[in-house]
Amino acid sequence: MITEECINCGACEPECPNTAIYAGGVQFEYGGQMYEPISNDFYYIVPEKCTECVGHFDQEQCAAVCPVDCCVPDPNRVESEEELFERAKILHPDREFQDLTVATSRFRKTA
Amino acid sequence: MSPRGVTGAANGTDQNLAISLPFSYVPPEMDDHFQRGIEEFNRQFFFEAHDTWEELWMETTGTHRLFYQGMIQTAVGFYHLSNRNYKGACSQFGKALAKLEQYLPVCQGVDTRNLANGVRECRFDAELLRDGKLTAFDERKIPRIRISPPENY
Repeated sequence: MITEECINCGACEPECPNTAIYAGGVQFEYGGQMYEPISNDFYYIVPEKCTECVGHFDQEQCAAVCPVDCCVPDPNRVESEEELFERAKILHPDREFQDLTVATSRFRKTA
Repeated sequence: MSPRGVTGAANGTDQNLAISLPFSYVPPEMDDHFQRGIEEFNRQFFFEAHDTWEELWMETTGTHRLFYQGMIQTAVGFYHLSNRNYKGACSQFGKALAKLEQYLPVCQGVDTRNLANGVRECRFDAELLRDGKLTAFDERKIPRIRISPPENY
């Protein structure tokens, strides 16, 4: 999720491998249909399109580039690696995913 | 609070910003970009200051990366404060202080001790504003970024 600390710099949007991030006030696309924006004030993440970068990178790319640290896990929507990986496969049906590694899942990182 | 920062943000850029160098001493190692951000901050163009430093932060990988991010978050805190986003301001000030306090008393020529003290005082007021215990922010409390004389290095 993106908190109200967001200053609409837009750094996160192009980094998302799932196109899950939209500018405030902009409709989002999901499953071939358009939906009303979740936020009108600042950038937002569509939860149904977010995999926390599981399947793609070792950390959430939005958080990595956010200068104000406002791309954070949603405490009201905690999901497992398995759930997120399944979503990645659904979102990218044409892509052949390999087994998850430290390079493609933040869950595989050691402390 | 006057919307100076907001006005600057709406304008996008201020061509006059590059004209004057208000510092009596500029450390030779100070990056031009960083210096420009300081000028913008001291003129209370907080969005622009954040924007300028963000470029620097993105390309920095060394020990100063966290320092630049602390500076960005300081600017964003004041940007939020100017927009009466007190919750956002409190959070950004907290994040900024956690970083700036790792670079005391001077970093890249900036008097970080003075800046951190100013941010701390403003965070206190922002918390009161957020909780409805204060009705207006005294703009005079906004710190100016001071360049520390070389003898303090």
